[in-house]
Amino acid sequence: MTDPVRPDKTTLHASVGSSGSPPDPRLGGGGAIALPNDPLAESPSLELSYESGVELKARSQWAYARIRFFRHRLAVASLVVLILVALVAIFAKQIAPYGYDELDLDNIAASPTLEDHHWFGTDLLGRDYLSRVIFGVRTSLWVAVFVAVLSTLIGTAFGAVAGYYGGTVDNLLMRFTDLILTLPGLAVLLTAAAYLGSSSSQVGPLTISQPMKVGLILAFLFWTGLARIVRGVFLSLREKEFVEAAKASGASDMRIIVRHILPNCIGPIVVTMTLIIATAILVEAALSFLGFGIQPPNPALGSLIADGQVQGFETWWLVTFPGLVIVIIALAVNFIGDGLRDALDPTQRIRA
Amino acid sequence: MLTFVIRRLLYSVVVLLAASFIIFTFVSVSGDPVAFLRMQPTASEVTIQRIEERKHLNEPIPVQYVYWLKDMLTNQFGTTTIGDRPILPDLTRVMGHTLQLIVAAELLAILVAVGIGVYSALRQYSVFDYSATTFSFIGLATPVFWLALMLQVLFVYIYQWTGVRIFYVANLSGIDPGSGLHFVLDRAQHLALPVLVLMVASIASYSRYMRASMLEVVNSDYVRTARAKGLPERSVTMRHAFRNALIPLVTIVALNFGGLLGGAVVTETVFGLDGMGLYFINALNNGDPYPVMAWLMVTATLVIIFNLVADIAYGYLDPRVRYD
Repeated sequence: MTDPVRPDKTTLHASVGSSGSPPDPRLGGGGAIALPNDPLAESPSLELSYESGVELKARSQWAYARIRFFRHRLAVASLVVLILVALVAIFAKQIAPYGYDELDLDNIAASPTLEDHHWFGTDLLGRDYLSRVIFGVRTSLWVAVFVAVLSTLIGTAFGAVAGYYGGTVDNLLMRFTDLILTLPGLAVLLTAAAYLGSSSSQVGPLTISQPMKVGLILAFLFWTGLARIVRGVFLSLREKEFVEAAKASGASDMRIIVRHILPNCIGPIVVTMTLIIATAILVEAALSFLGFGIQPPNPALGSLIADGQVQGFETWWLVTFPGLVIVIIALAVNFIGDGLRDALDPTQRIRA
Repeated sequence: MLTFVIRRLLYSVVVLLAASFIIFTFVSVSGDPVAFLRMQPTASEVTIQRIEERKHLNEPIPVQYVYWLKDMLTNQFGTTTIGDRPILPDLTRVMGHTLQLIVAAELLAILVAVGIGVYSALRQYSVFDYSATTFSFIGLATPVFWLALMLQVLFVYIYQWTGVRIFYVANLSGIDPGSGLHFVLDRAQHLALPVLVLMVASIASYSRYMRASMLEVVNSDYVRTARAKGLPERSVTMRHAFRNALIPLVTIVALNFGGLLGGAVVTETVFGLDGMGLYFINALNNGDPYPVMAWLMVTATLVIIFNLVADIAYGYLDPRVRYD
């Protein structure tokens, strides 16, 4: 758990435990007193409560967060949906009734039907769109998670260094974000994808696949928002007493950044990372739809929609279903982000 | 105030110059402007050499950059690689069309979003409030291009079933747009669906901001004072709360300009509108860097101007903001 939090908790318990009086709900962390049968409660300082004879259980900050998250019903439902979608994507080869490019010549341009598993219909070549969408989700979800992880790593590192040291790094970071904000994001991404991302390439022994390249390009533009947030937290915390104390006891800069200040940013980082997944899915779909994102033969939801558009208005299902799946994924991720914000970052809560 | 504007203008020029250098080096390092021509069997070696000479392609990148900058400032962005077509006239034409689209969409979106936001805030946690929230969540999760396609499909089917053409689903004008009122009506029928598509995303985000800022104002001290001194509720909400709640929206709308252009790119592509977005996509597809760079420079300038306008307007609307 976070260093600055731990002392508080222990003192709280010591005082409650030693007084031996019934739990006082007005105490700062009133929620620290758990119901006897609460399965969510963790018990790192269980011995303490046994000694004092009072039935007490300590909860870590994570346990609080978990409880707050599970109280957000929409977020929990979204999490279930997203896990299901992710499982289908991971086991695409086992689940999809047809292959990505498999032709079913008996059912050409079939509208959505339960027969032969063509739930999402087939296109003019007889390719099953349910299977194509499943494989498309696989790529799109993978790229989105890749973008989120990569841009979170870059953003956190830059934000932390800029906020902690200030000076030139900070100036460079802020000017760079200014510059990026000057250009319409989609246009920059389109240009980058058109000139750099149209094929896979070989860097030494590593093969960078084409979808991964699209992910790299997206991540390069997405990290700046998070960097600004992390920078803000570091700026406000680097003058705090606990940092001073750590410095006085001889902790290195690296240790202060990673062990003392960074844990305080976990909330905003996790929330922003979730929101990046949603944005990445939408932006990647737009790029692929315009023909500059993920290139065939790699499946992607955006290019499936473009394929459907080319085949005319009679086959409306080719356009409808891949798009609906995008909406469902993006909606679920946004709700989860909302729930996480309430859980991890209660101060940031917008009145909703 | 004046020093602030001047300083911001100077800073903007520096940012623009930096942006232009990054745009140029990035685009020229990563793509060969004549790569497309080299693959054409009909393009002779002489033609390619002539183009290379005209665009100074054999010089080092910094020298090329200076030539390009000179072209941009003195020769109206120069010409395209293929066909040697002047860029600026085309760009001006498509900008006019895109402005019609964007201005119409934004004005309507702001009107609707302000209404939704204020009403949700005044009736917090009501059915209306929850529906509005749900709508924004769905609106923000819907890909713009997909919404455009769905509307297109829907109106094609409506036309096929009823034979009534309410809105056109492609292009900017009919074959014979006519003139006067006819022209306006024709243009409106063509622009209606693209405007609607752009509106949805804007409404979804603006109404959230409007609601949040209205809630903040409604719970502030001076509104409580206004109530306490016995002003009628209508005057409290409309004169004291509403007008102040509008101020943050100015910044949000101005800063959203870049995002709006991104929306225009996909919307115009789907509906085949002869605007900036389609121009940009076509330039990218042709592999011609010069129109792409010109486009990026023009939009960067516009975004910077909008940011500046937002800053100045904010200070004008909210006297508490001081420029130093």
